[in-house]
Amino acid sequence: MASAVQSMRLCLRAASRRAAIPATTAPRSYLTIRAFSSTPFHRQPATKKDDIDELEEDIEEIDTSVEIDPVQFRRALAEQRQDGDFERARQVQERVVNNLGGTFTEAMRTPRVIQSKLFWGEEESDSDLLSDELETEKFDEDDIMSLAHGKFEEFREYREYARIAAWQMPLLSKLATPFEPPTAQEPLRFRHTSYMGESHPAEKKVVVEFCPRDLPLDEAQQQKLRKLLGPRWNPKTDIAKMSCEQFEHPAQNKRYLGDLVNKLVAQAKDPTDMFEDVPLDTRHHTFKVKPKFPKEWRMTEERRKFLEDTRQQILLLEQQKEEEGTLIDGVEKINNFFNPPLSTPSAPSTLSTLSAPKSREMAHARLEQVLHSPASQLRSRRF
Amino acid sequence: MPVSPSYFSRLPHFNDSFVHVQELNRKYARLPTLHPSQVERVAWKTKDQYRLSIGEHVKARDYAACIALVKRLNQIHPDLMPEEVKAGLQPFKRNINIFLNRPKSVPIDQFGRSHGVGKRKSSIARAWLVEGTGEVLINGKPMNEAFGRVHDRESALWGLKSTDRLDKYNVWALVGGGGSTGQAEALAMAIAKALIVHEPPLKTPLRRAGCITRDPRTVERKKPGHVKARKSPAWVKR
Amino acid sequence: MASINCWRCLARPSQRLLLAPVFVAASAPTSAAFSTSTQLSAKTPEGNTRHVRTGKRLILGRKKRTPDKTKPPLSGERKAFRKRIQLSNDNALQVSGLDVLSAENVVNPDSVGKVFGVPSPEVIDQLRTCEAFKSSQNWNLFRSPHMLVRKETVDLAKQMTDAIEKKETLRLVITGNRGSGKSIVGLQALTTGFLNKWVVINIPEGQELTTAATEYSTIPNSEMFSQPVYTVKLMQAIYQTNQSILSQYKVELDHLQLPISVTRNMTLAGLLNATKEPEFSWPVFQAFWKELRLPGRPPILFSLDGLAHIMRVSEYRSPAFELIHSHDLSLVRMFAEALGGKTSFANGAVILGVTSKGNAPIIPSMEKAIAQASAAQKGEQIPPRDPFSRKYDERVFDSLRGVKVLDVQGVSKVEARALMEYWAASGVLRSRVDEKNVSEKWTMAGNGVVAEMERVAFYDLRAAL
Repeated sequence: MASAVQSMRLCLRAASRRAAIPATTAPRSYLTIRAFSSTPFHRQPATKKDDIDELEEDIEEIDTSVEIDPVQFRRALAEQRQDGDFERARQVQERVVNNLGGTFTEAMRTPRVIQSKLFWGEEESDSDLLSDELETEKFDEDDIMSLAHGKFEEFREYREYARIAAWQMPLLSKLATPFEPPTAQEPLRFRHTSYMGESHPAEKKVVVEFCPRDLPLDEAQQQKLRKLLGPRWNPKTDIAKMSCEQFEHPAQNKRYLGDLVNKLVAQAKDPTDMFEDVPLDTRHHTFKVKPKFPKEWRMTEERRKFLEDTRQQILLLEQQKEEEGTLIDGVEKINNFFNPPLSTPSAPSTLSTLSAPKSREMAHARLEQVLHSPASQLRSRRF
Repeated sequence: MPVSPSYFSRLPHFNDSFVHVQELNRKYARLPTLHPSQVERVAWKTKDQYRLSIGEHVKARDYAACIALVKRLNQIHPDLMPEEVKAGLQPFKRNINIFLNRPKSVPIDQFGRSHGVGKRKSSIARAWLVEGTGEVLINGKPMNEAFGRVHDRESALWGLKSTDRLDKYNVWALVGGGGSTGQAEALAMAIAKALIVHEPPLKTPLRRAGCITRDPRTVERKKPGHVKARKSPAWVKR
Repeated sequence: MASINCWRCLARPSQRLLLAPVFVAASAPTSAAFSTSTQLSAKTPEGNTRHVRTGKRLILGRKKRTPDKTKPPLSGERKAFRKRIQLSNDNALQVSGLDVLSAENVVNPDSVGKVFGVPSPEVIDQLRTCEAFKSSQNWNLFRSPHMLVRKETVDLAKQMTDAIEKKETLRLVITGNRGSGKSIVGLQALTTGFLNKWVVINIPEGQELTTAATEYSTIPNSEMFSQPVYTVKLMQAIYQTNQSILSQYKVELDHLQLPISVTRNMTLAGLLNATKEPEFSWPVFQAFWKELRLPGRPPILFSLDGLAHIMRVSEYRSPAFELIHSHDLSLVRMFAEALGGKTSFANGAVILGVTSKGNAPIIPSMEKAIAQASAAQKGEQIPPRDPFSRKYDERVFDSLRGVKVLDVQGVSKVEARALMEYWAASGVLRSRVDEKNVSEKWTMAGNGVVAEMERVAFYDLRAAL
């Protein structure tokens, strides 16, 4: 490789690139300047030399120290051209120079920032959301905007579903089967849970409901079954409900429930102990008593007649009392006591002995007194 | 080529309609009209409703001018009303004519009961009224067990008491929600409504007694940043 | 140098001169009272000027507490005041024209819905002595005690007299809603007993026996406990109320085991009154109870108010510090056995248990037993016991076996009207008693519950006052 370096050196000298590489032009952008840096930007000190500087110095050295005779140099070149080795070296050198141009342009470019390594991308797990803006292609003004593309996509979706609704949905009716109520041979009702293709921990649960009356049991056996079922049996609806999710698959759970029901039925049929001494336990259920509209309030002919009669009676009684003067007024009683009528001084108030004309008379007297003496009112109020 | 020259204006639909209405007015100005009091009431769109329906920000003044013309057109005698006018008025009418709404009459059922619903605060009461001797059952309980306070009992039966019907009807009611005051006043409303079914002329006295109107006052909602509806947290230094 | 003006004074000096002409320096030399010259000539020491200001002064922290010179109430005085029964009120109007309750018209169906006066004064005294009146009943609003005779009253009186005529035992429990007048019906039953010259024994409050409020002691050779002080009180009450009847009957049995000597020519009243020693009270009362049940003796009315309290575990403790069941208290057991039908009465008897809804414990077994009894009485299906409940007490079921139940509900409108007319005539109710008013109050009071009617009827009055 030594020859390659040598040839490169020569080549560089021949090209005399010194002027072409301006050292004092604008700062190179591969030294990234932080935009928010508080410290001023320094060029690297001259004492510290990196590779390029070294290279330049070397060239300078060659330039200055050795005086080369041009005739000699040309001869040497011709010699070299004859040499196949030289030819190869030249090719390598060209290649290197070409590549060097690439490396230089690479170095001149702003460094590529990997978004996922930056602070903003740290927490983002979805790589789609990390867009390297530098990577995005330039908009060439020959297309609609991406928003519009999205809108188009939306319409396409609508149209697709509309097509499905119009063409495929009606075909489903061919698959429809009429509902058949479960027969007496199918007393168990299983309930499975599906999350439409998603996996869910509750998917494995299976619930069975049945009514003890639907099972092939006689009355006593049914009662025993109810006692065995305990709080799984609802006394109001007479339906038992059991569930299982202890196995991994719904089918296993369903199998288990089916076996359990079979076992229960077998036990209920077992005549050794019918649990006749154990009362049915309904403590787990609270019976709600709904208030009902009283039946005797319902309007019937008899009821209407009864109401009219009572009203008539009440009216008659009221009228009779009014005529007799036995209708009692509390205020009147008190006023009578404090301002006894002149005709019957200190007449005690009675419930039933007052007669109508007397009371009317008294009322007049009282009225007069009330009108003439405001003191009487005061007194009565004080009472 | 646009259909209408209004296409280039800011309010194409409105301008079209306005011009059309003006033309109609000019065309049919001679047709006999009814007195405004005799015209059947029509629910016109309000300015905001009209704006919403055509999606143009019509100015209030312009709309007022337009609707005045529309109302003038609507006064044309219904027998002579041209189809053109009817069609022209259509964009200014509401979809549902609220003036044609009639309250649904709840009949007395086969057992002589009438039903009424009342609300107050967060209580809801349903009452069934049947002719009787003045017995009251609330949630299946007599009055004294349903309401501890005498005041509540009185306010619950206020509709019957103020119209002197307390001994004429039996009340069977279901009340739920809220506290005792709310329940009592909800019940007053329910009973009053049920009473109107039996005796429609009592509506005015009952309204005067304050039993028909739903009291809209309820608990004000709590706001974020406040301790209660209005109360702010106490100011603390730092 | 301090200023002459008081630095505390905010009045300007010129004003102060005008305002405060009066100051008498304490340090001024004493001189003749009539001479002012020395005082005027004496100069007040500087810096020590007193600020004199007129008007009210705010004095803080110098409040003198005058010691309460009235005597504190003696022990038991407050309770006596709380429990006092006032049966008449001179401010109330006299209501005339009302009949007086008698043994005949209590059982007369025509007297339903009428107000009757309690026959005075001896029956009132008897009722008062056996504590039939209660302080929660508003007797103090009226001139003299009157009672409304209602359907239940006549029904009960009829049952009682029939049973006693046939020399049977009527065991009955009065139940009903709160404020429906159960205690008043009990009072009317007691009145009936007094009017019919039965031997009336009344325990006014079951609570007094079981809340560990009175002394108790063990009974030798028995698992029971006696309440000697209460027994003495009860014996005295029986003696005072039934003296006229009991003095007609002589002791017939030999009571050799008694700590006091009882001879054959002693009357039953004498037996009751023979001892006031609490130690001897229970054996003597037992002897009296045995004598009373012999054939040829007067019929008995034994009544107790507050039934729920004697159907539970009492608050007394046995020597082993275990709670005593109420039925292990001798007096309570006597009543419980009589109510449960274990005691036989040769001359006819009425055993009356009145339930109470105020301050009463909830006894599930009592409620169930009463529900069963009332269903059996109506001929309905008997509600079964809850088979899994642990709260049931078999002794309670035993003590309520086969009792009759009298359910006291609200009064009818006729009765309500009579009551309101009485109130109006007494000047308590200030309104016209007509059908409209009566019906309104009756409805408001939950279909005529009496206590509620009173509350509703006087509600306006209270609101106005």
